[in-house]
Amino acid sequence: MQTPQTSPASHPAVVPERVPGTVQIFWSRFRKNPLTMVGGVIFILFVLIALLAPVLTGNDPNQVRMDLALQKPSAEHWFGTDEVGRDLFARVIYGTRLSLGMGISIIIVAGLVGTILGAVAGYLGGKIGQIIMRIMDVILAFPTLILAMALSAAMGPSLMNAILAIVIVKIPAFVRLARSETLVVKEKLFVKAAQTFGLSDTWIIVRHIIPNVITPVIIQMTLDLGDAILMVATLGFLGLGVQPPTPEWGAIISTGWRYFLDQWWYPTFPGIAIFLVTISFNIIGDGLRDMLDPRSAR
Amino acid sequence: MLTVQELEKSFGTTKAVDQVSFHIQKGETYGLVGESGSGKSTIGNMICGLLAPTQGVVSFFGEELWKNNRFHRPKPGSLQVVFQDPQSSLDVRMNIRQIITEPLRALPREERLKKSSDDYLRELVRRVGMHEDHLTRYPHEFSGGQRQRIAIARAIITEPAFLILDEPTSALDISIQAQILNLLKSLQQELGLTYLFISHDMSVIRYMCDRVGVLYHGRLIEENETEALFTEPQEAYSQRLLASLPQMTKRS
Amino acid sequence: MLLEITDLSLSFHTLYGTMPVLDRVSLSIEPGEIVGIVGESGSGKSVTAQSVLRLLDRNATYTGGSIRFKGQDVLGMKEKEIQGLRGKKIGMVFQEPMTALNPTMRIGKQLANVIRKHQGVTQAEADRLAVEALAAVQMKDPQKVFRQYPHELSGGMRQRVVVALAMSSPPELLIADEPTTALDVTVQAEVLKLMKELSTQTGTSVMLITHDIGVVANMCDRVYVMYGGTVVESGKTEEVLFHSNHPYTRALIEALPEGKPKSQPLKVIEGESFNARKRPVGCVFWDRCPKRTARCQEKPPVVEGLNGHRIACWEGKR
Repeated sequence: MQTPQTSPASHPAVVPERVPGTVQIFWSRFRKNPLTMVGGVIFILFVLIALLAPVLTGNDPNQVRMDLALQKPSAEHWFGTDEVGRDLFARVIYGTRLSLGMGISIIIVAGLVGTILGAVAGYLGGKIGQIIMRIMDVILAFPTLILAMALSAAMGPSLMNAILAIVIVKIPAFVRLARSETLVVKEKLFVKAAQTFGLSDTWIIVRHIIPNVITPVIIQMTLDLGDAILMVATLGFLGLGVQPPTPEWGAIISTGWRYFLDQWWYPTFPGIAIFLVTISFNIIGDGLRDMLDPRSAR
Repeated sequence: MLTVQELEKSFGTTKAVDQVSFHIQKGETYGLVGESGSGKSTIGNMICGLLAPTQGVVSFFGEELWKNNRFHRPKPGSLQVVFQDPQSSLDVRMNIRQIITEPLRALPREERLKKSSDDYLRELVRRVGMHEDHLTRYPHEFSGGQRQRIAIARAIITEPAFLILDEPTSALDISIQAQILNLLKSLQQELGLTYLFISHDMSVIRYMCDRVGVLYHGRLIEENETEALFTEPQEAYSQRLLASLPQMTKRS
Repeated sequence: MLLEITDLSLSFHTLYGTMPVLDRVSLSIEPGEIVGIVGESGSGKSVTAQSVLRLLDRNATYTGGSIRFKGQDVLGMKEKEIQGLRGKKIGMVFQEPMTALNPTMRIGKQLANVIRKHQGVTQAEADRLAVEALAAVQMKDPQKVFRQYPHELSGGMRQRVVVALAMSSPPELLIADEPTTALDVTVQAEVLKLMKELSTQTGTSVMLITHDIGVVANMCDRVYVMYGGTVVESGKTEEVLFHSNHPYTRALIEALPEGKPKSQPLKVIEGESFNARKRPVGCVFWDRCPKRTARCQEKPPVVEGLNGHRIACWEGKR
């Protein structure tokens, strides 16, 4: 209801009503997208599993019990045991910590570095832009997985080197994305206005360019997260990443696949975990893209 | 105050601005009128440092602004711009306080602190017809007219001597246009501002400007006191421009 | 009566919930008339025009009223019947000419295709008529334009091509939605003059949607002034513009800088542009009206004066 005012439509200085912000619009779209909800639920489940690992299982993932080797799934060992009697449920659960942690840190580092490089290359252009983009072209010239394998093999198999290798191969996609978005934002009047104030390029990039290109980068980050986790597992599977006995999904499958015919549970459960995580991120990423894309606004 | 001499700008082989000269005196409103492609915004961009001229001189208080393709910025904040589209000229990721105070970053520390004080800002937003509660809000919460008020507050926070108004009301409704034009006029009187008013709208130019230059294909083809230009346009193009203006009064 | 819109109400479903966009809009166009619909942003002028051809998105719901074109109920028509109206009996010209042109096809071919579709003539005959249509929109070299692509033409030339497309087989009604807003004033004057001449020659009625009161003054026989999704005033152009009775129309004309003394501030309409999220319960202009009274919190009646001059305002009811 409108309340009567005393003077006809007071001065222009009337406080406008609050309108729904991006977050509210985003949430209302999120709720109308059941598939994304499913992806989100799976993701939250995995995060909870990672956080609550010690609560979920009393077993030590690294405790060797030769007498319990290769046991079937049972009430005691939900996912069975491996060839040296370690509880596979515990190993998969603790592996969640590692996989999610590595995947997320890889993506955050790659996304951040990529955004900064892309914004600089797009905004400044010229020689600096050329140099950045040519380096990215070189990285992109190789298939990502092969390059990540080569890099981590060259640097020596270790957890840190595997992370570094994957970060390097993941950066160019973010640079390209951030640069193309920057080229659009750069032409906006608020950037021109900041230029007329005589502000530095650094200020403009940090305060105007990056905040305005970050949304598509974040979507790309969620889409790539599943892929990064898969790459971590692949490197682990190939013996190039996480070293035993650390419980990592790829590494578990790597030893486990030999037992597949007789002890099917050994590689199956970590496999399912990889599958679920990867697919949930793809679903979330797709959903985010649809939600944030103004063309699909409805 | 501002002198433009034989200013030229070429894009490839086309001359967007060709041998344009004019000067603007303290306290006046000088209008540049022309259709799309006449070079009026290009001239504005060369004066505020966004675009380097191919040839010619722009001087502000006697100082040359462009030397050897480098922009020598006058005293920070002394020359400010209000752009056409308040939808795009405010960064939606910043709140109003951050937007309005942004130009202060180029000022000396003492002045910056003084002008970002709560009292100063309160006075500033009131002056442009907004409310101090608005300072913590974001651009999407405001209408086009309010956004343009915010853009004006941002331009005058540095107490400039000179403002370039690049089509400041073209994106607004008629009823809002009148509010903004009134605001610009009263600010000019209160603060002793000098305006370069760029527009394609003859009736707005006539109402706002003391002197007017008519641009056609990058050339300044006619310049005169506003009333003289509107009552006795000399050049054929100016006559055509005035004749094609849909006017309410023309119908009889 | 060629077109008759009666009490049309319409809502949009948005993130903010269901928003009424049109509220009991009534409007009519006689054969051969040029009728203006003038309003600011949020007035519903474009929505009204688009609803005539049912061009609105699926998130629009008609909540009441009717649209009759030559007595036929447009809202009740099947999709097929509507398509029979579009382009053939009702032509459209939009603000941006490229929305109506295919960038990859020569102008002549696009024109000839439309002519063949509507008139069922041979290819050679269609080509001949296409050149004629280009000449009719005063192209200096119609043969040359016939062979050109849209991108080779200026904005004004493109808009003429769109007018040629719409008028090549003269429709009974031409809906022109801000047809000259993207054009320069000198070009605008030419395109408007052209549309007026074509209308006189062919007897096509024109529904001209614009925000520019000057354009209405020069073009239209009658005008509807819209605000906030309602028609606030309507009648003969002269009467509405020079003897306006509705406070909004009066204030709008007062707010124009045209011919106003420099020394005085312009009279303004206080407040902000119409915001559908803050729609007043009674009169739509309630929150900005300089003359409002307590009564205005109820919907105003439509009061009819001389010569069909109508206003929707309590003030008119003395």
